[in-house]
Amino acid sequence: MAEIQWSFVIAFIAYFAVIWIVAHRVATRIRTYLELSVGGRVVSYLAFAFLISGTFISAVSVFGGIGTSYEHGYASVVGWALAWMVALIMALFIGYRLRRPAAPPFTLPEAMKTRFELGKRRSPIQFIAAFWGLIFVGLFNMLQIKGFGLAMETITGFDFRIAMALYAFIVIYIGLGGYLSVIRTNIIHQFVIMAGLWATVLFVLSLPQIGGLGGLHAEAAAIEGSVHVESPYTLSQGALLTFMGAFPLVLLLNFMIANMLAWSAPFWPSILLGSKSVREMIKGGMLASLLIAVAWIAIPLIGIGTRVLMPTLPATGRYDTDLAFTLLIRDQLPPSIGIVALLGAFAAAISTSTALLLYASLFLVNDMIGAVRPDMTKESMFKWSRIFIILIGLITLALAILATPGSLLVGASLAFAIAASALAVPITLGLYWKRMTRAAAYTCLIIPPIVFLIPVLIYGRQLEGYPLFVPPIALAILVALLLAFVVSLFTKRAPEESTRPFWEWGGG
Amino acid sequence: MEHYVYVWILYAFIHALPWVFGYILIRRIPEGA
Repeated sequence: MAEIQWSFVIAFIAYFAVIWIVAHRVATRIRTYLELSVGGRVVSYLAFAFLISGTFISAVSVFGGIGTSYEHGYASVVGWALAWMVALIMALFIGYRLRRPAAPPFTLPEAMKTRFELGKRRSPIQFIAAFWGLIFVGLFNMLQIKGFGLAMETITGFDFRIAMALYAFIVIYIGLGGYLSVIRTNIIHQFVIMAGLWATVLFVLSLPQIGGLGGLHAEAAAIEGSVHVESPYTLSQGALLTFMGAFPLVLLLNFMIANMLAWSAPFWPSILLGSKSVREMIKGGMLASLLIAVAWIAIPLIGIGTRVLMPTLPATGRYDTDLAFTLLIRDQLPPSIGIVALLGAFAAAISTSTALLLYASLFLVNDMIGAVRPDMTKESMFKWSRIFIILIGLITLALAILATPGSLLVGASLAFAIAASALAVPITLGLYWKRMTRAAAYTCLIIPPIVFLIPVLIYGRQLEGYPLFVPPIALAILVALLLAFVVSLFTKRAPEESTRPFWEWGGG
Repeated sequence: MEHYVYVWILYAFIHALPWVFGYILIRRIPEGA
C-alpha cells in the first residue's frame, strides 16, 4: 500500500472542520418542516445561483468530465456541458409554472399529485414519481461517493472505505440542516471548486511541455490511438479537437439526449420550489449558468492537458478514464496545487451529494410515506425526514462501498435517462398542456422506462451492437409522447381546479 | 478555422440562451406576482 500523504489528509480535515461548523449552526437552529424542505421559501437569487451551480457541478462533472475529455477531447463539451445547459434552460421553464401556486408544493411528486390527482387522499402518481426519484438520487449519490473515495485512496493512500465513511458522515450532517444548510455549504464549495479547477488549468498550461493554450491544441492535434488496451475507442489524429471524439454517433446522441433531459431528474425541479418567487428563481438560474460556464471551460482543458502529459492510462491498471484527473494530481501536480485540485473535486462531489440526500429523504417521507399516510403532521414529517437522512446516508454508503466502479459519466447518463424516461413527458406536458389526463400520466410513468431499460439490459450500458439508429432514450421519449397524446385524447378531461394553480398567478 | 473554435462558439451561444429565455420569462411575470 502506498504511503499516506499526510499533507492531503490534514487539508481535508481542516476543510471538513469548516464545513462542519457551518452545517452545525444551521442544523441546531432549524425547527420546522418548511425550513428543512424548502428553506422557508425565502431564498433570494444570489444564494439560489450558488445552490444550482453547486448542485450542478458534481464528482461526475469533475472526474467524469475530465476523464471523457481525456479520451474524447471536446466531445465531452458537446455531449455533456452543452446538453446540461439545455437542461438548465428547460428547468427554468418548468420552474416558471411549478413555483407559481399560492401554496406551492414541497416536492415535484407532490406537484404531480396536485396536477393529476387533486382532491384524492392517497395519490399513487405521487408515490410512483417519488419512486423513480428515489432510484435516481440513490444511483447518482453512489456515483459521487465512489468517485470521491477512489480518488482519495489513489492519491493519498488513505483507505477508500474510511474516506467514504467520513464523507458520508459530513453529508449526513449537512443534510440534517436541510435546504438552508445545503445552500450555505454550497457557497463555500463553489469557491473551492473554481479554485481547484482553475489552479490546475493554469499550472498545466504553464508547463514547458504544454506551452500555453496554443501549445496545448498543437500537441493535442497530434494524438491518436486508444488510452488503454481494453478501450473500445480508437482516436484518429486530430479527433481530440472535434465535436465527436472517438464516439459512434448513436452513443454520443444517447448521452446527449439523456443529459438534455437531466432537468426531469426530480430533485432539480424540486430544488426550484425553495426560491422566494418565480422571478428570483429565474434570475438565480441565469446567474448559475455563468458559474457553471466558468467551471466547464476548465474541465475539457484539464482533460486534454492530461492526455498530452499522459497519452495512455497505465497498462497494468483497469480501463477507467475517471482516473485521469486522479493520476494527474498524483503524478504531475506539485502537492500545493494537488491539494487545491483534490479539495475542488471533493467540494464538487459533496455539494451535489447533500442535495441528493436531502431529496432522497423528502421523496420517501413527503411523497411515498405521505401518499400512504396522508394524515401525517408536519411535525412528524420533520422528525422522520431527519431520521431518514441518517438511514439513507448510511445505506447509500454501504451500497457505494459494495458497488463495482464503472465510468462515472456513463453511469450518470444512465441514471438521468431512467428518471427522464419516466418523468420528462408527464412533467412537461402536465405543466404546459391542460388536456393531459391522469390516465396518460400513469401510462407515461410506467411504460417508457421499460422501453428504455430493455435495450440497455440487452446491449449493456455502452450499447455495443445496438442495431437501431434512434438511441434508446429517444425511443422511450417518443413512446411517452405518443402515449401521452393518444391516451389523453381518449380519456376524460382533467377538472379546471387541477390546472389552475400552474396556469394562473397565485392561483390554487 | 480550427474545429475546436466552433466548439467554443457553440459553447458561448448555448450559454447565452439561459439569459435570453430568462429575460423573456421574467418579462412575462405580471407586476406584484
